[in-house]
Amino acid sequence: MVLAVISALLVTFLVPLLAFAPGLALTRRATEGLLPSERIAIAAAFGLGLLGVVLFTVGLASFNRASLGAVVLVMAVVWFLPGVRRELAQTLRAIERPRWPWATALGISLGFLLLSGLAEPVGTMGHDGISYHLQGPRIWLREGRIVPMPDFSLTAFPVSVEAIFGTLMAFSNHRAPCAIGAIYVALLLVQTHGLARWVGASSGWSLAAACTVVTMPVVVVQSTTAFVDVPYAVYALSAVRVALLCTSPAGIMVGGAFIGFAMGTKYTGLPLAFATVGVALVAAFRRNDQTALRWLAGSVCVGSLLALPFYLRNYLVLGSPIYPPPVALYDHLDVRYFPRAAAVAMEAYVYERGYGFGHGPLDLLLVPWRFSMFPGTFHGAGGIGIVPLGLGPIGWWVARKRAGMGELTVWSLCVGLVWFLTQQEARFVQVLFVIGAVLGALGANWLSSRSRLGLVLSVLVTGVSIVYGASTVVKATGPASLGPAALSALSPSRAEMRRSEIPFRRAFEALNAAKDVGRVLIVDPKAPPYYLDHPHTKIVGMYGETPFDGPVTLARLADAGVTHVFETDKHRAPPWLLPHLELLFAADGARVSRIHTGDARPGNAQGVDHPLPPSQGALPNP
Amino acid sequence: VAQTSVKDEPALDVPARRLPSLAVVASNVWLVIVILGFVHSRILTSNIFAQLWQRWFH
Repeated sequence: MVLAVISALLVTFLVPLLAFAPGLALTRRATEGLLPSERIAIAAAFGLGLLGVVLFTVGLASFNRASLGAVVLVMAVVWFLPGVRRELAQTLRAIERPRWPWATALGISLGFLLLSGLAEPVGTMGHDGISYHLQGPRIWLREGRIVPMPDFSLTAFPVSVEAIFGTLMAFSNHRAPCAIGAIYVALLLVQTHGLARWVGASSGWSLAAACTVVTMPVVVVQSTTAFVDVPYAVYALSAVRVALLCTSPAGIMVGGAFIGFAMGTKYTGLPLAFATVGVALVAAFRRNDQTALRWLAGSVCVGSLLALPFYLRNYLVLGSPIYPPPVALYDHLDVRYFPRAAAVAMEAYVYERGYGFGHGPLDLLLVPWRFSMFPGTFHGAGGIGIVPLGLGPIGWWVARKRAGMGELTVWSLCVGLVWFLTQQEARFVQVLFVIGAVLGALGANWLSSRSRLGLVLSVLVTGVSIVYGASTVVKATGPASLGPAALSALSPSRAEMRRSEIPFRRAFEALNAAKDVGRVLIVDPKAPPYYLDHPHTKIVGMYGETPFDGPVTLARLADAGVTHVFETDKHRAPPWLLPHLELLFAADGARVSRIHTGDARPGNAQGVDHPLPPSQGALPNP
Repeated sequence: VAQTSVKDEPALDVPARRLPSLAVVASNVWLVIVILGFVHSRILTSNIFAQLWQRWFH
């Protein structure tokens, strides 16, 4: 266990470090005028974004240690350019040292997050990290290239960050993709501090804004469990910072690239792209800046090119660039493995899960208040505290006339409105929480210098948010419980306790140890194949996917190389398959059997089809 | 020594106390509202306080 933790720790730092050099080389012109710490963070984010896109593109042909290592090493060659190291040295020397209380608090928080990320990932199919963020790379490494996973449609989401996860797994183990989440959080905190200084907050209150963000449960609870929301927020915030607030030609181009990285990370990057380009266009027209307009066209091309591999792969392999596809696309596209009924059920599920308190005009006005007070309704994991709600509007009022503030305001409103109208899932708009904390820092700065009561209230609001958020993060239970996870990275007995959260653990372990296993048919749509070392397939996926794209027969199972069947107490094999099964072992509510085609009943032996009933579009409990 | 009356003493150099601006007052009121709302939503609805509330007032 110790070696696994050390290996994950080393690779977690080494890969971003190697990718940092091209990031710095390509962003140094765009970030001129920013704080040195912010320049470093944006360069690191750019390096990681570029690495993800290149890894995915190369991985479509080959996804193994050799090809992934070659990509990382080629990017690392930039380190040998003399200008890069000189630039880095100068920038590092110029970084102002933060005040020690804030630096200590931030350091402890990041250390805690890193430690929790070094724990062995566990959970059920309800945990996005287990069901697809880690599952996809695991299969790519086994298959030697990036392939779709037809029994779980969400693996077809844009996967630039998952490509990095796969690389970390290839050179270390499954702990590293979770641990790198702490690095993304660190980048987000540095950007928070930089943006707060840009709006005019003092150094102290800017660091307080970073502390507020690192104690927002919505931001950090899932940050080290292989979720991609923090990387997405880092890319989105970087895009805004360099494209909307710097507006130099280089800034606009780099901003376009960041939008491309965001589109390659989550589908929410698509509306984000429209909002960013729209705001930048209007701003350029208002300034009558013809140069900016030309560069903006170029940046749109750059962003589109960087995002293209993800959407083109989906279109060519799965039949739809956005997969799982919206129902409206079924009339125009030939979608594979995902029936229309499943798409209808998926849309209903998304609508219900993202309903919040409603979609009416009054709900829109009340959403900041309701979000801060009742985050559970938005799956908010404990919320964001009250700094954005209480101090944010004050900060906005103070900075409203600042150059660039109009663009930032309109952009934030656009992103928030799209979120409100589509799926009100808290973690999708982490970037807005950062902006809220930044404005809150300015509000506190302004108010505390004008009124003694204002100082008391500002400290109270910030303190309550930080203490409440930190206690919520530490006390969180379930798969996202960071406290027990951090302990399990240090203690073998705690690690063993954590493994008890693996569903059907003994059955998976026995099946992994068994010989002559080809492909395993997992009958239960909600059984996580993440814990299986052998290839697998399912009859019906968790969201109604149909990996066989038609009736399932014994002959088709044989063609797919299925040798074993994994059943659970809740989902047994279909009746036509039962006579062919030889039970090997049963444990933890699961049964593993071997398929014997020779013992088949006459009807099956002759290959008569036994189609399964159509998918019910089974969905997980929210 | 000539005595001086209180009336003749020079005024101390104390600046007139300025009233806080409307923006500051509004900000403070807003923060109080937010804090009370948070306390209400987080603490009064948590289990222990809900149980005490039930025991004492119902």
